[in-house]
Amino acid sequence: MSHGNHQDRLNESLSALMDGEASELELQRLLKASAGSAEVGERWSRYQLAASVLRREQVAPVDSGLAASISAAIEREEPLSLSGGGGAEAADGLANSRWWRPLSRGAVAATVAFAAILGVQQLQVADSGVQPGGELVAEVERPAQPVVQSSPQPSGFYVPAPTTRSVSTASPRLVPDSQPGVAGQAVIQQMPTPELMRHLNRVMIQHSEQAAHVGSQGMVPFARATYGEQVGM
Amino acid sequence: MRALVDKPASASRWICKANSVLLALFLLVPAAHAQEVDGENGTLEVQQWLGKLARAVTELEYRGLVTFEHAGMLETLQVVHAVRDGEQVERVRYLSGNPRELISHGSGKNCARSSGPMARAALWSRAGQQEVQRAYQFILRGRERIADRDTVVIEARPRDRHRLGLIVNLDQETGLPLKSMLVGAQGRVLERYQFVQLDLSPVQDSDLQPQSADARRIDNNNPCSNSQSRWQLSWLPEGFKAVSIKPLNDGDMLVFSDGLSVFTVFVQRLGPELDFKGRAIRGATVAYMDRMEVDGVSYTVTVVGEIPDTTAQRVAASVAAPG
Repeated sequence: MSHGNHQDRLNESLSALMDGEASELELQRLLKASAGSAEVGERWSRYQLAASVLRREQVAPVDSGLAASISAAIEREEPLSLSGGGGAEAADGLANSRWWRPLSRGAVAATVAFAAILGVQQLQVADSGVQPGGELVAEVERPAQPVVQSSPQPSGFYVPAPTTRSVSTASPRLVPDSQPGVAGQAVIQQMPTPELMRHLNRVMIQHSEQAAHVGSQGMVPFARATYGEQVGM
Repeated sequence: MRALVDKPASASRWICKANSVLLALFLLVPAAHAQEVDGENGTLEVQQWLGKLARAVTELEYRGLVTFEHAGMLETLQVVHAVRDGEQVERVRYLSGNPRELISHGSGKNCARSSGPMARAALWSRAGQQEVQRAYQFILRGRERIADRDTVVIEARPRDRHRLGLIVNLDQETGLPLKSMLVGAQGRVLERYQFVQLDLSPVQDSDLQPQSADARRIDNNNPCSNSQSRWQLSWLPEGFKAVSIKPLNDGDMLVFSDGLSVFTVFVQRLGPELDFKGRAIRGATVAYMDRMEVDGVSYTVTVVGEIPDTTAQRVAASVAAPG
């Protein structure tokens, strides 16, 4: 059934978007679909909710009707130029708004593009640095999204959220060397053992404290040295 | 949700390419205003600023609030820097996340690079500066306002791929760095340290007291030792020299610097539970671990520093015990 296939593809794309991995094409498809039906938007907020719960964040109950009622309120709102005056002016206003509409659309598109750049930069980081394979790490590496994001507006998908990893992940990210000869193998990030963690923290602290006497960076090395410190070390 | 590993990356690669073009555009705009430090005047100006910086970070009393940001993490901290009996006393306290605090005493003495005085005040001397300029090209990038103060932006652009770049904003009045960013390949900012508030009034003794019970104290009265080590490096990135060699309980610790960047090589006899080959990254700091066998004994080599991971890996591979 082609409809079912389409839906599957959309869901797949949506989940890719959650992971910040959606391609340009998938993005367009999602935007188009979300304009057509509320289902995509609702699914999106369910995904967000699930991710928040996985991250053990405090979750505010999301009223799925909220966005709809806001949209309805906006619909009811009379355009400013029309409410102002009589015929000629109204026509003028209409012409104006017609002229403006593509522009403002462009502005929205620009915002989206900018957000997309941010997203891809994070992707690049993942590409060049680490491919988190361990579930736990993948969870914390992912940018935290605001909890309440039930807006079905396409632009609402792309609020660039800062990556706020919790402090408990102050530990270094580990990337073992890939096996030579195995081309294109995915780098699996492994969870470091406590011994390895302690060793890495210790050498990083010792290095930073030494660096404080050598470089010309003021107190930056001390900030680094203190950063990874953990209670009980 | 899909796993992160098995994504077809072609589309995103295409976007990346488009992005780098955009990014290049962004970078080119300020570059048009940048002053290339080729002329004698520019060089002199940079030298004066670097000298001012070196004095400020050692002699100036200040305290302030700082944001420290890397890999999408933002932390806030409080810093205090004072001079007592000719020695520096410094306190760093994290205001976000786990309570962490460090008090460092007596870092008045500086480590000497074998070629001359290279230290926190590496940039004091003309000779030291010239050496640093062989590894980095310095560019005056104009002015910027940080923490309600006017600053001069200086970029230290590495002349090879073995070190990171640095963009630093110096307080116009005092030369204190109010913002510093470490920049990796493709202009990616790896770490940013930036004041939000600066107070230059003399620091009270009470400001130097720890505010948390488990504050860590370090005493730096003998920060640099020059003991002998059996370990040697067959490859060093140009301009890097040993500044300190220290024996540890379980091995040796060798510190190298090019005047701006620093990395440390640890060679230790550690248990098999630390058998790991690869890198660990935290912000701009990379630690590359390797294992080597000498005379039937297994050693763990760890290279730690604010350097590209390829450099760390190459340095780690070059550690050897001659003879």
